Amino acid sequence: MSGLAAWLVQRISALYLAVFTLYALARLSVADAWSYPAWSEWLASPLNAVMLWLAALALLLHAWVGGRDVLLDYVHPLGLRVVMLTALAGWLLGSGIWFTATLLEAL
Amino acid sequence: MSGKATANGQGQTNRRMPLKDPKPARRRPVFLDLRQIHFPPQAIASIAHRLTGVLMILAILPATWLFALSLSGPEGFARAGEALTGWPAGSAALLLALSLAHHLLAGIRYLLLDIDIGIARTTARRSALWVLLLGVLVGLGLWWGLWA
Repeated sequence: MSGLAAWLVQRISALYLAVFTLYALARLSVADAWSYPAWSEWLASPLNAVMLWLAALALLLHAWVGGRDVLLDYVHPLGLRVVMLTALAGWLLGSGIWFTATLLEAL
Repeated sequence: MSGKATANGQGQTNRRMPLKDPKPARRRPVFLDLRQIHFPPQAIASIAHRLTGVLMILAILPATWLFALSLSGPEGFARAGEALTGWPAGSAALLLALSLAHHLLAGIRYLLLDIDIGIARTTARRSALWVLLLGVLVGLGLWWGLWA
């Protein structure tokens, strides 16, 4: 992903993440004390689960485009660059798969 | 600003600038003395936006682990809560709260700049200062609110 596509993805994901973060913080501030039943019940609602999954997707795309830009700007030796880009992709993909599996189980 | 080069390359040429590339066509001045480059607030906000983004990328996998642990049952939920107490987790949380606050505010500033709002140099300079200041204040408030 590069050029206009990356530029657009970065901004659309930023908008979703900004709105979702404000919503999540507002939701946290009105929540009662932390408890497992309340937490698992909140996630059992399909709407909440879908919103959270979309936020995770937006976060991973945003992190990929941003992290890739940073690496391309500062890491010049080709071998090291490939290694670090691969590590970043693995870090994000691994998190995404783990997160999705957890979310599906909690539904 | 006399005698100082600006980060955007509009500074005066400097006699000590090395001409690195031997190819004449690509021979251009390179000035990267970080002690002498003057960084305006816009540049500091830009670097901070990158730095905070990288910090939060490093937190993605640990956060996923905490998420999975917290949903593995009441016992796991309690263990996730325990993992968040103590000063190492507390300082990591402070760093992440500051990162999130700065990254979000600076990001909103960039989205506005994208549609030409606040693009004039004096306005952009002032908004960068505000983002830097508010990022710290909101970050501290966020940490205080969620941790205390």
